[in-house]
Amino acid sequence: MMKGSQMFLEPFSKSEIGLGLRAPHYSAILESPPKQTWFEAIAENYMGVEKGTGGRAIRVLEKIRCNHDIVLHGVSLNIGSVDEPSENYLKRLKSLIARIEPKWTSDHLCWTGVNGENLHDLLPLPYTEEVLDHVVEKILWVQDFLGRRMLFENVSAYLTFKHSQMEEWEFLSEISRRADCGILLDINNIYVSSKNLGFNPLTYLDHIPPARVGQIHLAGHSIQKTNHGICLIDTHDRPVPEPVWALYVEAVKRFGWIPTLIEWDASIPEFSILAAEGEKARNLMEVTS
Amino acid sequence: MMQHENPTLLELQQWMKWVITDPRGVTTALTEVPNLNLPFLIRYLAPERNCLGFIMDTPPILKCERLDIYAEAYFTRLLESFTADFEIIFKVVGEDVFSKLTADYLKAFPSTVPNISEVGSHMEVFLLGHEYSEDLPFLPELGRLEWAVIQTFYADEVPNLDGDSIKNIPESSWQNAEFVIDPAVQLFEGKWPVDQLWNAIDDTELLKRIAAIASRPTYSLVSRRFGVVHVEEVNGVKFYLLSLMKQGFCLGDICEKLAGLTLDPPPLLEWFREWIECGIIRKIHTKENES
Ligand SMILES: [Fe+2]
Repeated sequence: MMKGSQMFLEPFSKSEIGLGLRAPHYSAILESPPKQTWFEAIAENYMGVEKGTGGRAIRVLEKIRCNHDIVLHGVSLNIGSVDEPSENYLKRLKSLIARIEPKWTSDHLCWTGVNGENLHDLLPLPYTEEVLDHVVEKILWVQDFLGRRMLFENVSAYLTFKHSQMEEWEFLSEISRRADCGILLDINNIYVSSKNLGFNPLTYLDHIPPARVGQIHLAGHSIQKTNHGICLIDTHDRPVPEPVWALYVEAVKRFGWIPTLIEWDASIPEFSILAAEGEKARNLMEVTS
Repeated sequence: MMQHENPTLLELQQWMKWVITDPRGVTTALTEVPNLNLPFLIRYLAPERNCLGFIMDTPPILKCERLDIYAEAYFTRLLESFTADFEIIFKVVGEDVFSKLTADYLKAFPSTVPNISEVGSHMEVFLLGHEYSEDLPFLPELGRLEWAVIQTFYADEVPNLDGDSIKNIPESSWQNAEFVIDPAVQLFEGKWPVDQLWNAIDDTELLKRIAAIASRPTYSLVSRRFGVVHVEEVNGVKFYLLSLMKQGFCLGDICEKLAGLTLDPPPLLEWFREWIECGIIRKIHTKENES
């Protein structure tokens, strides 16, 4: 079993900022590598298919790796599912980790499929003692298999369950303590969930153990009208909105300097626009922490 | 009573999977019994344990609307991925049919893979028995070709053949020389010239060509050069030669098998040079370089 002090691997220098690595930006990044920037790559995009692990994507990632630090971010670990961890998936993830040597690897505190099927969607868990035990056991198993600690991210939620016995922040914190893993705190997800489910996002931040927070995500969301009201959707298709920046400042006040990353997955803009968002995060971090 | 107990995590996840993947939509799934003639009926039938009552009421948004957000995200993500990966089928059948085709596909072959680009691996088998293929009989082959392109795109990479190593092969060794074909190379044999459709992807006249497509034996080479996938029609002799090389026959045996197939001897040397240059042949095994 891995024992550890406060955090995970060496962090980045305080002036560095993280950007989500997306295919439309490959040439801009390779042609003029941005300074003081690290990238987060979606692990599944570089795993290849069952019979092939090559191709342009992994080659580009290896090139970018020469100039920048990389962290890997998975979307299919399915840690909250009743299914056993998929050995096939973990083997592919492990060989990707060996090839890319990321600073760390993260995934989401949710489930993405059941009975061997993958819905490719980040689905909510009921926050019960039983589920807590189950998820902790799975994380411990996965971390042992990979030989490294992971970070787990809070996802945007659109519903909760009546039989939950604790709040999400309690569940996330307890998971991190008992499984000795890190927290990837997505500030936009906290904001989106707080509006959709009606809680105070500052209460969420107040209950997160600062020493467990290894990374922060910032992103944009959209507003969707339903027949009965408005829902915020975690679309990552626009700049980080002001209320999320404000919540970020609150997070930095509580947790100090934390490696921060901008996610932008749809309606992807020119690289310079993404980089400017990163710059804004860097400045806010500097004046706040 | 059993129904008052909290659902197990398995019951909850099975129920939620069912309700958000029903192509009829969340509300219909929750309120209407499916038509018993639906293909893959089993996937439309609600699990024994109904978990709707365990979703918190958080006004003003209804539970159904909340579930709908997940249902929409699930289908949209897969539809976007299929639209990118099966771009030609998308253009051939049009947006509405493609959306229905994707929903039907996911019932027949739900994803069990981590990379979303692998989800369509059964496209040919799926289309073989499907109503869409009645009017467009080349569709299954097109599905196979587009999946082949994905596999070629992701194939393992191996180093280029070093030109000097060929010069050093003594003449006497060529007879037993064997060839290693690039793992990205796929030999595509079919009854329809679907390679033409693939190469006409940006052609505005594409639809006219589709209308005119006629069945004929087709041999294509799917390969990757500098990260880009190419699909090109090759003649039957080239195709046969490449398949013999892929199967591991040595040059002597290959020449024997080719003898008499054509009136004029094929320009083997020229073809070999071309295939070495463009990375289709990655290695030549001889007694010398094996020892
Ligand atoms: Fe995130």
